[in-house]
Amino acid sequence: MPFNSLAFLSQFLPLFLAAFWLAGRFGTGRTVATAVVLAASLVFFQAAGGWYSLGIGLASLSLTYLIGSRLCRSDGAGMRRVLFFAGLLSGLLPLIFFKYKFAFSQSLPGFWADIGMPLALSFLVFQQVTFLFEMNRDGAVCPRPLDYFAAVLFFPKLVCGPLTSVCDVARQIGTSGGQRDARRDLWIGATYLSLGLFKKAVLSDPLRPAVDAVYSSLAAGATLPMAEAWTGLLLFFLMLYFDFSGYTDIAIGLARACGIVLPGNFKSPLKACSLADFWSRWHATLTKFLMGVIYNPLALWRTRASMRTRPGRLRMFFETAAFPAVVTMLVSGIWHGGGWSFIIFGLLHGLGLTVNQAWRQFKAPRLPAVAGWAATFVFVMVSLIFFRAADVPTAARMLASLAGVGAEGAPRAASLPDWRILWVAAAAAAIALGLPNSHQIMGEEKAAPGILGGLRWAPTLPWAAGALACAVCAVALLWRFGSPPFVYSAF
Amino acid sequence: MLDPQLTQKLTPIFQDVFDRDDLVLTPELSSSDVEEWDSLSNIRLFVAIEQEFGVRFTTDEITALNNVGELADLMTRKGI
Repeated sequence: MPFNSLAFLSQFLPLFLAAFWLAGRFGTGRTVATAVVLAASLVFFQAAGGWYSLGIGLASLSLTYLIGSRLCRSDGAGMRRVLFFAGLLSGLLPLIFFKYKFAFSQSLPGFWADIGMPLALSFLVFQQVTFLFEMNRDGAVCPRPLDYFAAVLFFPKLVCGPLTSVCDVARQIGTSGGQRDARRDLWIGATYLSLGLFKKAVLSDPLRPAVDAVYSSLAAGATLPMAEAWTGLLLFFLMLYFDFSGYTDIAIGLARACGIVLPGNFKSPLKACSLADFWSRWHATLTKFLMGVIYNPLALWRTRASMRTRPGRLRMFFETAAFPAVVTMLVSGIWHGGGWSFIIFGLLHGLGLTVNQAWRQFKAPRLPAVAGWAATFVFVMVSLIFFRAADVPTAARMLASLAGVGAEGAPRAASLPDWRILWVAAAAAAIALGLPNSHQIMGEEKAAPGILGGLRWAPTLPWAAGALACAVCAVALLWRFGSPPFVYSAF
Repeated sequence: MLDPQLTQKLTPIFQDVFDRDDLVLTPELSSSDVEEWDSLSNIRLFVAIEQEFGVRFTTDEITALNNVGELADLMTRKGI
């Protein structure tokens, strides 16, 4: 039951909002509203991922809660360390097993070899790690089991984030409706939801068949003419961009409709003028998470060591900047999936960030903003070949096609997509580059520069009509053509 | 409002790490206000503060801080 299904929009969501409103109106204390959120999240989880995903998720979350609550009460530094690492292992080992079991599936018994990746396990594990970090802080207060499960399983962010502080969401769920302007939150939530559905159904989904055609041809051994290859590259970037941007808007809107503020996660990444800037805008909460648990510890460790040993400037750069960046992005690549293509994707971005840092550290001539933007854009688009291609040979054929090199005797396939698809792509690119992002439109971030930068939502009739028009367009397309799942739900 | 004595000691560290002699510390100053304040220089800033004040930061503390005011509060809690 994904957000872009009619069952979710016409049945689950209205029923949940009605129950949540009734709980806030007639329930006493914060327990009833929290229980409604938890019950709805469990129903959503079961409907989306089945009993199998729900069972594994609940078992893993329960173990982390037991360890985290013990960690919170523990005084001894040694015991805290043991509990902290035991908690990390209990969350990470199942994730590693399910992501990489294909590598040793031959030697696994039948049942274990056949079972698939449980829905949402990746994001649940990230939230469990966040919870352990929070419980490991001095003065931490462990939430009640009800609050913990409601916060971690909170259905708007269950499958693909945004990643949040568990304690903060638990607190917000417990107090939602009591301290905020509920009617305004509902308006804002509905507007985010409409924008997100529009991005997914109108700007992303129509591009998908053309992208699938390109990569099917490549997977079958064909190469492409150069123009088709570059068009396919651009279409995949825009498709992924609006798929994830749309998902994020919907998640934030659903949470906001019940008074819960989730952090921004997608902040106009197409406007980034450097790779570091790109990652601070694309899936920003995952970037912050990876910085906190991998990059910062490594960089801090090597920087402290370098301050003691005082190595040369170049060696210091490699130890303190290149090493943490490459390891962090490599882990990010490995997290995305098994196989060499994701490892190459992570390595490329680690190396790209190293070049980005070196440019600054060694004070290379500053590029004009447009050159920085173009270099970032092309680098990200090309690296995404390894994100989309089924394997490395397919990715290599795409790279060869981009360079205009066709394998001798290999069939050439695909033609330029229908002109209507190209118009959708042009509109999508214009929106991504020319308009403020959803958070800026909703007044929750500093206004964007430019003529349209001041475009700000207000609870007025024209804005309501605009949001309604977006929602009607999206639902009409969903009704007529259905909608494929969100790309990130596969991770 | 930042403690003047703490500000006096922190300012040259910030100016040195970010290579910006004109940098003026305010409680609201954050990485979004200083172009040179990226992930790497952030770590160097904290290690430089550790060396100057003889304190130790955890990565969790570093990750959680949002601006100079929060840094000053953290240092006060550490007894500086």
